[in-house]
Amino acid sequence: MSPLKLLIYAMGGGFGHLTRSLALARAALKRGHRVHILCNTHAAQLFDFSQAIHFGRLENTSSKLTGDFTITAFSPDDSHDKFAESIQRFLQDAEYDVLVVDTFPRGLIGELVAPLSQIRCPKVLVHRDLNPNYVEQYELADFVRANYRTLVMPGEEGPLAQMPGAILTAPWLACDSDELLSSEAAREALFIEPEDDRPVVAVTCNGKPDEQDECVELSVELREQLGDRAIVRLVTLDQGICERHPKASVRMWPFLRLHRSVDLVIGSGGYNTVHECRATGTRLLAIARKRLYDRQAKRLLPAEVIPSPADAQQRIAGHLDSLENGYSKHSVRYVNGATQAIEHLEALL
Amino acid sequence: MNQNWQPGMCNERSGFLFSHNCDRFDTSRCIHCEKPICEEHTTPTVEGAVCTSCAKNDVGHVEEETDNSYPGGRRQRHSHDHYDPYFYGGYYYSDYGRYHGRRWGHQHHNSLHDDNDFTEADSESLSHQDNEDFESDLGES
Repeated sequence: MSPLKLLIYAMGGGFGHLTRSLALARAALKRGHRVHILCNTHAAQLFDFSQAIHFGRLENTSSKLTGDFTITAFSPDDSHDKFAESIQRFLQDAEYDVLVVDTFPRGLIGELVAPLSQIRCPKVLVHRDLNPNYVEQYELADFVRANYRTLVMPGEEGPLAQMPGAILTAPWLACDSDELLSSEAAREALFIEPEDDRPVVAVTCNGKPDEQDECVELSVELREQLGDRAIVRLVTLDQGICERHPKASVRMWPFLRLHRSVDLVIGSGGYNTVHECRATGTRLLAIARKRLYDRQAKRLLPAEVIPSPADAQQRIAGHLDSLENGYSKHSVRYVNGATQAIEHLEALL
Repeated sequence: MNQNWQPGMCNERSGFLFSHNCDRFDTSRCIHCEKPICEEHTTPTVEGAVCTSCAKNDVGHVEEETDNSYPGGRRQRHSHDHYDPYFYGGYYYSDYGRYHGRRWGHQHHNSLHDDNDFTEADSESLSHQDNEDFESDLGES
């Protein structure tokens, strides 16, 4: 088929919407399509988008940041009126074959309601789990039925899962399993000496500013508490944090590429963290962060939940004995639902 | 059995959303597949301990049994407890990943499943749902 141009609406705070959309973008680029992402997260400024797209199997392709892949980051500090006007003007002026809207069918502040009815190309909603009160309050079932061609559920079902034509894929992951670094390469990226065979505990640090501070503090305390029993690394995209904690922190995206060398992840119950650990069989201890739309606690298993960073220290002690007898993840293989989603879109058009 | 089970640990892989490794110690072995399993992943049967996976595989096996409290003295029931949380989770995703025409995963929902079901882990992160202000914050997710 001829290449499609996907316009992906990935608005929303944090890393989740953008990371999931980058996963979809990479899957599309691998199949020869063009992608334009719209985002408005503060996290966008931490990304090197060229690197975020062109690692692994895309490294040596002809896809470039401009042309095949483009991204527009709107300011999260804009007024609502300015934000809505910018989005509406963009949707009117841009050329695309399919509009993919992540999570918010009406847009973050309802700014998609008016333009959606004017857009003639197929519109696809990415429907992860979502606060059902939001769905009910804004009568999203009727709205989605009237405005979207289909729903694609990226590895988890939201309240609209029963709508006709909804499909469930495997979780969308930031890289394919053949793009994971080998254990040796991942340990090197984590500044671990080759002869050091202690288990690796990775504290992910990509939430809101106060949550990041908690994670930094936790990683420092864990290093002191665990001593020689485990290697603790803070994983973040924040260059400032890395400079303050050299050798104890790693700036890497996607973190998933390092999973073969990680025995335990401590993070949040966000979409990407949880599904990455599920895919690679990596143990997870997570704080279910409060979000307006995302129900992180629902995504986590009871055994994975820690109420606070302080609880992590106690829980890790219970994990260490088995971590020291960790199993090899050389043979980790998983299905990336992003590829399935692109295949579905191709069949749709 | 031809599996190379890891002794000492529960070897079951199960979960509410997706299968994952269990981090508990084993307490018994499954009578069918000999998998080391912990108490959480043990489904007791009259024959002995059965792992969650084998219990799930038995879901279609309906057995007849005498129940004097039931009119006529007989009823049909499944051979294990559907309210076991691991059984519940696994059943929901029992055919996850298979392609059914244009639909990945299960084609229809288990009638026992409610998308809005919660676990005990939910209370804290959902506590602010009483005071929601949707479509008012450009930084929410």
